[in-house]
Amino acid sequence: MPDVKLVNVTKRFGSVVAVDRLNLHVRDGEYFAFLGPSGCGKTTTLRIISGLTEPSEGEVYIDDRKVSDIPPEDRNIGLVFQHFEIFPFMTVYENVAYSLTIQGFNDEEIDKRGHQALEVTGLNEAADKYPENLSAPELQRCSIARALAGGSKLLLLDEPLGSLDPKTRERFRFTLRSIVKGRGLTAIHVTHDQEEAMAIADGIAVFREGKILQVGRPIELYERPASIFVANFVGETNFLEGVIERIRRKTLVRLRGNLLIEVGESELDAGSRVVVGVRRENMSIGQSKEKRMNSLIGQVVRTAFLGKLIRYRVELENGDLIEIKQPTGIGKIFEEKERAYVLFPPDKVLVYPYPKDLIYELALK
Amino acid sequence: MNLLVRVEKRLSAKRYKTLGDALVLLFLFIFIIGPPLSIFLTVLRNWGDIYTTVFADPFLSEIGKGALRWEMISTALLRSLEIAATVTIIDVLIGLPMALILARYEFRGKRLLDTLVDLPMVVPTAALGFSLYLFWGTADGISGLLGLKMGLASRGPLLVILTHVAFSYPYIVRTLKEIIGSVDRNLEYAARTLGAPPFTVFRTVTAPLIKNGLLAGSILCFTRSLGETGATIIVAGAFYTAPLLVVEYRQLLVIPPAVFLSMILVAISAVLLAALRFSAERFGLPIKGVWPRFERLLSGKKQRRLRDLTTLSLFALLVLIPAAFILFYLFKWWSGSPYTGNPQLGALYQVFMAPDRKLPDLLSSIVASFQVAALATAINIIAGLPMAFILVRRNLGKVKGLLDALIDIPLTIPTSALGFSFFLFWGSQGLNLLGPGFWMIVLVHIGFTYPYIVRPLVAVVEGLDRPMEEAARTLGAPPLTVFRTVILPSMKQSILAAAIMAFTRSLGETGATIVVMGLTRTVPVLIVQWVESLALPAAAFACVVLIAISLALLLILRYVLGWK
Amino acid sequence: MPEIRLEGVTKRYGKTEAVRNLSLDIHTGEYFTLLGPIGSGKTTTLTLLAGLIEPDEGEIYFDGKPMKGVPPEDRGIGFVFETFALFPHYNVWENITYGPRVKREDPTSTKKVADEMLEMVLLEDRPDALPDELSGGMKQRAALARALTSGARILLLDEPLASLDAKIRVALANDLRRIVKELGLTAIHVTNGVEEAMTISDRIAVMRNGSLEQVGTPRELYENPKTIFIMDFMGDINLFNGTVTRSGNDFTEVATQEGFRFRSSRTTLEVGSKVHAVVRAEDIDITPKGSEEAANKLQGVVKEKMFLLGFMKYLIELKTGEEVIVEVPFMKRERDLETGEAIAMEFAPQNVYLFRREESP
Repeated sequence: MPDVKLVNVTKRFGSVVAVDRLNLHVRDGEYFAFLGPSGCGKTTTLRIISGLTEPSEGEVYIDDRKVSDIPPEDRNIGLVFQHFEIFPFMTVYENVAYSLTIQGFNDEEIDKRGHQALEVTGLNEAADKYPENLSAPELQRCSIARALAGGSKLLLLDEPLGSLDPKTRERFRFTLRSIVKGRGLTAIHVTHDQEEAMAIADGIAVFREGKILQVGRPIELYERPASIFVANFVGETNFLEGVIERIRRKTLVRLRGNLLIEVGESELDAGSRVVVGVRRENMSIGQSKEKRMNSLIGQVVRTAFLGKLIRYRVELENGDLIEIKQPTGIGKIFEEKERAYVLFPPDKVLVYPYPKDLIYELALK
Repeated sequence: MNLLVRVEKRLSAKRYKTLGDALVLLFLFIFIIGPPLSIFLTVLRNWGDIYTTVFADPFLSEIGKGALRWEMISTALLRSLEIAATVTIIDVLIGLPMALILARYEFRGKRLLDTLVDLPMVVPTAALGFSLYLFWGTADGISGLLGLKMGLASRGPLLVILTHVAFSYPYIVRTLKEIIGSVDRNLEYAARTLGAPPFTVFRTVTAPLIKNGLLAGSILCFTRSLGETGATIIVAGAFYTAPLLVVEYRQLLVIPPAVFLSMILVAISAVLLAALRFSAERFGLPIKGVWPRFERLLSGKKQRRLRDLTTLSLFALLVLIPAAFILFYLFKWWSGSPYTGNPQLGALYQVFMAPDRKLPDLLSSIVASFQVAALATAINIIAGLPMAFILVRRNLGKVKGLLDALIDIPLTIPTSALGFSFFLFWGSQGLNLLGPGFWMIVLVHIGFTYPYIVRPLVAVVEGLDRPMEEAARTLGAPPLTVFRTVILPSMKQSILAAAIMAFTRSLGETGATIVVMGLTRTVPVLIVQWVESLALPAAAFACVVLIAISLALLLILRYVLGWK
Repeated sequence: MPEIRLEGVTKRYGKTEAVRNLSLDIHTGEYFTLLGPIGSGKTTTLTLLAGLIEPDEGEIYFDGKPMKGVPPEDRGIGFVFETFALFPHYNVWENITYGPRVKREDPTSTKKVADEMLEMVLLEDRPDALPDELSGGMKQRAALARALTSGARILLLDEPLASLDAKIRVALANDLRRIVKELGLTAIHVTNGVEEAMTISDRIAVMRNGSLEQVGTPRELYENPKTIFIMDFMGDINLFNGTVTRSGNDFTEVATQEGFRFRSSRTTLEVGSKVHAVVRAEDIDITPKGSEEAANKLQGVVKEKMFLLGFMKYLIELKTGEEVIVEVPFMKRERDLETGEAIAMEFAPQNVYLFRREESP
C-alpha cells in the first residue's frame, strides 16, 4: 500500500534551489498530480521520489520507510517517461518482461505476469513487435505495461502525455486513470497542463519555483484557489483591481472608474486594496441586467467561436478588459462592437489582498 | 534475483567503480602517453650526449661542421612545417565544398562518394604513397597519357605535397561534414526567408557555427601532414622531412639526434593540440560586411553546379585516381615489362617465381600484420570503452579537458617519433623490458590506435539515451546490469565500427613500425623494403593485396553502420 | 497586399504524396490556419508557400504572380519556425535586424521598425540577450519580431506555440492575432490544436493525409462539418451506425444497430440508406427524469467522470454496453453526478448529424 511522504525535501543545483523545503503526503491509492510551469521543481521532486536524484536535504518515506539510502532499482516503483524510453532492440514483450527477468522470476511466472501487464494495457496483439513499428500511444502503453509488470504499486509519470497529439492526449487520460484505479495503484503524475491535471487527478499540488503553493482536490483548486497565481494558472480568471467597501451588511468592491460590484463575505477591512478574480466560465453575457447578479455594461471587442463555447472579449466602461467563456446555445451570439452586460454572481468572486508585486503574481512561470 | 544480476549488483558498489577507474587511468598512463612523454625525461637524462652529437659533434667539428646535425634537424623541421601549411590550405579549399556536398545534398551514389572520400584514411600509407609516386612520378602514370617520357614530379617536395594533400583530405572533409550536418537546417531556412541568398546564408549563418570545426579540421589536417611518415618515405627521395630524419637516424643507430628530434616533434604536437583547444573562440569571420549582389551571383543554380563539378573533378584528380592508380600499374606490369617484355620484371615472376621467394615473406607478414592489429584492437576496446565512460559520465571538472587532450596525443605525434619514443621507453634506454620485435610492435600499435577507439566511443557514449538507462534502473536493474542489458546492446554497432577503424589503421601503419621492428615485418614495412630494393612490381602486388584487405574491411564497416 | 492561391498543388516524397492536388485561396489580411493531425500535409504546404521546396505539380500564386522558381528570399515572406531557429551566435537585436541588414536597407529606418517590433512583442528590454538566455515564450516572440522586421506582408507560422507551456500558449495566441491584425498582415498558421485554431483564425482549412477536408470559418466548420473526421477532430463525438427508416421534408429517422431510434432534422436521406449518426458530447443533455416529448433518448449509468475547466465530462455506459461521452457546462449543471448513478439523456434532432456509410470489409 504505497503512500509517499516528503519531509522538508530540498534540492540545490549549485546556487539554484530547485526544490525548497517541500512537505507533502500522497495517500495510498490516490491519483495525484504535480502541476506547475516549466522549471518549477515538479520533475525534480518526482526524480527524488524515484531515487534517480538525491535530495540535498530532507527525507522521503515510502510506506513509512525512509528510502534515502535505497537506490532506484530497489525502491519498487514504476516510472513512465515523456519520451517513452522503450528499449529499441527488444520486442514489446521483452521490454515488458525486463524487470521480471532482472528480479529472477522463473519463466512461467514471467510469462504470466508479462502477459497480464500486456492485457491491462491492451497490447496483446503487439507483443512481438519492435518499437519502431509502434505508434506513439502504443509506445506509451508499452511503457506503462513495462513499469507495472514488475509488480510495483507506486507509479510515477513524468509528463506522460506530452509526446501525444491533443486528441490522443485527451483520450489517453481516461485510459491512464482506469489502469491506475483498476489495479489499486498510487500514481504521481507530473504535468504543466492544468486541464490535464484537473481532469485526471484526485489531488493536485501546485508548484512554483520549488515550493508548493496549494494542495487540494481539483474542485477545491477551482473554487477556492489560495493565491492569485493559482487562480491564474489553474483555469482562466479575469482580474480587476479595487477597494473594499461595506454598505449595510454587504461587502462590495469599488473598481476603477467607480464601478461597484458585490462580493461574498470577506475578512478584509473596508478600505483595503484588493484584487478580485472571477473565473471566465462563471461570467456570462446578456442583454440586460439581472437580479442578484453583478451586471456591468461593456462593449464586445472580439467574438471567437470555439464550437461548444464562445469566447467574448469585452471592454468595460472603466477600460478594463475581461474575457467570458460562454457555452454555445445559451442565449444569442453577440457580435463584435455590440453592447452587452457582463453578469456574474457575488459568491463566485475571489477576493485577494493587493500583492506587493502584482506582475509577479500574474506571471505564468 | 537472477544470479548474474546479483553479482553485478555487488560489483556496482562504489569501491569497485573507483578501482576500475584507477586501472583504466593507469593503462592510459603506462601504455599510451607514458612513452611519448617520457621522451622529455630521456632528453634530460642524456642531455650531455645529445648536445654534443647535435650541436658540437667532435668528428664533424674537425671539418668545421660541428652543428651539422642541428642544421639538418632544423632544415627538416622547417620543411615539414611549410609543407604542412601549404597542404592544409589546399585541402581546406578543395575539401570544404566536398563536405558541403556530402552534408547537404541527397543523390544516388552518395554513399559511394562518401566511402571514396574516406579511402586515403584507411588504405595503408605505404601503399598509397607508392601509388601516388607511380602516378605522378613515373612514365607509367599521368605523364604517359600526356606522351612524356618522364614523370611529372620526381621524388621530392612537390610529390610530397601532392601526397600529403591526398592523405589529409579525408580528415578535413569528415570533420566538416559532421559539423555542417549538425547545423540546424531551420537556421538556414530562416535566413533565406529573411532575404539572404544561399551564399550569404553560408557566410553569415553556417560559417560562424562551423568555425570551430573548421579550425579543428585544419589543425588535424596540418598535424596529419606534419606527422606523415610511411608514404613520405617512398615519395620524398633525398628530400628529408622531420619524421623521415628520425627514421634515418634510427636506422643508422645514431640515437641521440633521433631522441632530440623526436622530442621536438612531440613538443610541437602538444602545442598544436593546445592550439586546437584554446584558440577556437577567437577566430572570426567577415559577417558584418554584406555583399548581396556578388553573393547572389555565386548562389545561382548554374554556379552551384559548376562549383560542384569542380570539386568532384579536383577530388578525382588529386585524390581518387592517383590512389587507385596502383591497380592499373599492377595490371600493366603483371607478366613482365610493358616496354621490353622481360618477364623477370613482372610482378608475377617477382612474387611467385623469383629465387628470393617473396611469397612466403608476404604471407608471413600478412599474418604478422593481422596478429598485431587484432591484439592492439582487442586490448584497446577493453581499456578504451571504460575510458570513454569516464570521460563522459564522471564529474571531472577541469581535469576532463586535460584527460581529453592526453588521449589525442598519439594522434598528433608523427608516427616515427611516436614509435621511437616507445622504442626508448620499453627498450634498453628505459624500462628495458623488451627489445625491438613483435611485442614492441604490438605495444606501439596499441599506443596509436587508442585514440581511434576512444574518440568514436566517446561520441557514442555522449549520445546515449540517459532516460532509457534510468528507466532500466527503476525496473530493478543495478548499474552494471543496465550496462550489460541496455547500454552495450545499443552500442554494439558503434563498438564494432570503432574496432574496424582501428584494425584497418593498424594494418596500414608504416612509420612507427619501421622504427621498432626487429625481425618481424608487417606488410607495409615489406612494401617499403621492396620499393627500396627496386622490386617495384612486387611492391605493387603487395600494395594491392593490402589495399584489397583494407577496402574489404571498410566495406564491412559501411555495412555495419548502415544498420543504423 | 498579397492574395495567395494554390492550384492543384502536389508534392511527393518518394512514393508518398505529402500534399495531393491542393487548391486553396487565402485573402489579403486574413488570419488563415491549416489544421490537421500529424502527417496531414499542413507543414509541407507551408514550406511550399515559403519556397523552401518546390511542388511537383500545380502552381502557387502570390498576388496573381506565379511563384515557380522564385527563391524564398524573394517572396516577401516571414517564417516563424516551431523550434524558433534563432541564430545562436547573434543576440536578439542582431537576429531581428538580420533581414534588413542582408538586404542592405537603410539603417535608420531599420532601427525604427525593429524598435517598434520589439515593443510589439514585449521584448524591448532584452535586445542584447543571446537566444540561450531567453525562455521559450521569449524566444518565440523574438522569432516573431524577426519575421516582422524583415518587412514581410505574409507571415507563415509553423506550429509556433507547440513547444510552449499550455498556459502560455493561450496568451501568446491572442497576441499573435492582435499583432497580425494591427499590422494588416496575412498570416498562415499551421497547428494541430483545435482550440488554438478556433480562437485565432478567420478561416480554417482542415487537412488530412495531404488533402483538404473542408475550409471555412470556425463557425461554419462547427455547424456544418462535411465529414465525420472533422467532427471527431474538433471535439468528442458519439458515433452510431444505423439505417434510415423514415424520411420527410425536414427530418430523417434512423434505427441504429444497437436498437435505438434517432431523429435528425438536419438532412433528408432515402429510406434504407446506411448511415453514421453522430451526436456531439456537448449536445447531449442530462435529465434526471426523462421527458416524454424528447425525440432522442438514452439511458445509462455513470462510469467515469472528469472535471474539466468549465465542463464536467462523463463517460456513460448504456444498457447495451456501449459508452457515450457527455459534456455538461458548469452553467447548466445543477449538481455533479456520482459514478454508478443511473441517468437519462436526451438530445435535439438538430444536433444529430448523418453521414452516408459504406460497408467496409
